Amino acid sequence: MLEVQRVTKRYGRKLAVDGVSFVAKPGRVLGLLGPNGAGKTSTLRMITNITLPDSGEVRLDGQRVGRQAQRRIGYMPEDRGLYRQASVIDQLVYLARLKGLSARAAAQAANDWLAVLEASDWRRKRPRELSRGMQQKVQFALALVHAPRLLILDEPFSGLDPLNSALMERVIRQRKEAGTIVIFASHRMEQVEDLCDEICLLANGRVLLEGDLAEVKRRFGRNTVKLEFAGDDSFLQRLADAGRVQLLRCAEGRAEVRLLDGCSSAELLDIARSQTSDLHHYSASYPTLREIFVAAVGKAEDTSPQPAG
Amino acid sequence: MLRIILLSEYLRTVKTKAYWLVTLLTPLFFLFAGAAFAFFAAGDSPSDGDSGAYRLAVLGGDEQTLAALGEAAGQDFRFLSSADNLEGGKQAVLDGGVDALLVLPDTAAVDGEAPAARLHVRKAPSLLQRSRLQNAIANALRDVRLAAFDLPPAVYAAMEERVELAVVHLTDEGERRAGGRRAAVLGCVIALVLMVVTVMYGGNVMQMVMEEKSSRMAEIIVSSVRPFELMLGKILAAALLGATQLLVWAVVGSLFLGIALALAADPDAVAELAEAAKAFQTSGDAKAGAATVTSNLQLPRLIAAAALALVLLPVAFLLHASIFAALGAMFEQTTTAQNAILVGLLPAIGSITLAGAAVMQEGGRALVFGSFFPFSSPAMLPARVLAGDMPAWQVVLSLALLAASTFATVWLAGRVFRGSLLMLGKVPTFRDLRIILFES
Repeated sequence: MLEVQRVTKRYGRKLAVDGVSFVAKPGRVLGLLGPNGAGKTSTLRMITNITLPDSGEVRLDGQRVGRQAQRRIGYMPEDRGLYRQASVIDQLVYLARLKGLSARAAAQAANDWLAVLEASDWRRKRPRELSRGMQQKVQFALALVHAPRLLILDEPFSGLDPLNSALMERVIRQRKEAGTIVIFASHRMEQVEDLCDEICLLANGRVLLEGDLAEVKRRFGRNTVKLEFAGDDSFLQRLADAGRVQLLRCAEGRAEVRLLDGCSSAELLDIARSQTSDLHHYSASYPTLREIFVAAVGKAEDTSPQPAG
Repeated sequence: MLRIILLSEYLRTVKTKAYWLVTLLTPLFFLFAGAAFAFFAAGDSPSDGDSGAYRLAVLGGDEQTLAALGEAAGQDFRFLSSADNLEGGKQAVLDGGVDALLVLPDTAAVDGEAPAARLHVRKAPSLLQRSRLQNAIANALRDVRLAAFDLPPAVYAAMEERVELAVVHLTDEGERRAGGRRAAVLGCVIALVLMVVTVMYGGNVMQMVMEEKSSRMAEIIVSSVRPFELMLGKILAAALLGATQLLVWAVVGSLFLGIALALAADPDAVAELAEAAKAFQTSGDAKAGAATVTSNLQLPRLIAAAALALVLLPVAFLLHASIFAALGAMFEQTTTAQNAILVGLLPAIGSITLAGAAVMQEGGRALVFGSFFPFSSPAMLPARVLAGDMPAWQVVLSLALLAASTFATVWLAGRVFRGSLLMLGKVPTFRDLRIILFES
């Protein structure tokens, strides 16, 4: 288990991370979310022991993250690349050796991972001979080559085609099932929603939301309603004008609305029954992660006069 | 861990074609440059058949002058005839009968003006030939004039002798010959070697660090090793790459030298050399000379100075290269790093300046200061040890200062390296550096 306990990081006068705490469990994928400058990269660098927290601590399976624990972490940063002069296999073996594998084990692991990622043919190639997508798969292999206990992936899918994205997603799920702790940082809410079991949403260096994704959604309630009806739809427009709902879609007897403060699902159902001649579909659903993100971060920025890094 | 980084950095560079191109082409370049220089310096002057001598007709000067000229000029020049008049001589040059017409000044006129000779040519002689001819004329005129004044050449030679001024230090332990100049020259030579090594291989360290940053591997690597280890690994790899290159150059150089000697081997010349060496060994002068050399150099001091220089060279490289590593961590692109290279070179330039001042002063304050200043002490400390005017406590103090400075510089460079390496797409400002050094 990874425990991030009240970590704080300050760069000069800028408070980048302010008492952040969360837990990532084995066999689960944690989505680390937040707008640009929320403190995600600073937090990830403290987890990977690249920088030390000013206060608080990070523990991996009870052991304070230091030189030893660092070897059990695989990290794929957002701003990443490959050595221009070295072959794919040399780069993988080098990193595996830095993570503590013997020369033989490193070569074996590098070849195995290239096979898993359908990249064995490129083992002797240099990065300039590879497409961007191919390079990205090699960077993914760099994070996995030593079979880490904690796998941190920062925007791993950016620039990948759907086939390679699916392959990478499959590997992440396999690692998760094998008991690896996975942290997945991304701005792509659909992918986070699809892959993650838990989320930690940061803004201004602080945790806004944290916990099991389904639980977080439940906390926000079933606030999205889909309706199908016959008759006039002007009642929805009147509710929207009154600020009680937000009209997401409305055409040809089909509508999707978000309930705003002071309007419950039951109340909307009553209004819809009375205002339409035939209401043949009514369903309330949980908000999407994108909606939760926008709502939570928007609220935080409204109440925070000084955004931090 | 350090070994893995060192080997990887070393192999990554040594496996590239560019490294071997530079390594193998550099000695070839110098060889061809030397050959080209020799070829062009020799000029395209016409020669006298197989002898290769420069053929001249001479106008002016009496028999005695011509004889003296012939003697002074040696085998490079052949004085074929005395021209009857200027026009006839010029025509002979144009016809190709001779390579040049030499018009000598009046040997008897001693009027305080420098005598001016003239050379009429169709194709100019090389600079070297011209200089030799000029010396031969001057020597010939001098001998003729000495004879005219009835002065034997030996008297002139005695008047020309240099006076050596030996400085002897009087100390409580006894008398000791000062070796300030020789020591300062040695310091200057070591400082120059250091400068060349620093420029060539310190620059490599900077390049290697910049590559780490621009390839965007820095963050992945420092999530596995300490940045300080990465920096040291790169510095050591650069040193190893440099040593490999020097070794290749030494081998290639020896090979070429061997081939050149084999090609030029002339049995007569070899026999002559052997004779000369034998004669030198058995002559009393040589024995006296050898004794002087030994006493002047003070063999134990020479060995101590050489050993010190060898030990301090890697320390000096570490000191200078760590500055380059820190600078490399601050930049991603060579274009923006160009001014920074000068900053990295400043310590080496400073040490050369100090060494130059020490040579001018034949030791003096510059040498004493330079032997304590950490950036120049690797060059000046062996120099003062050779001079023999450095008490043991000063040697210890100098070494301690060097060790402390190297430690402090490497530590500071390590902090800048760590702090700057992950600043991607941005060159750290002075404010950033203050935070990196003292607050982060």
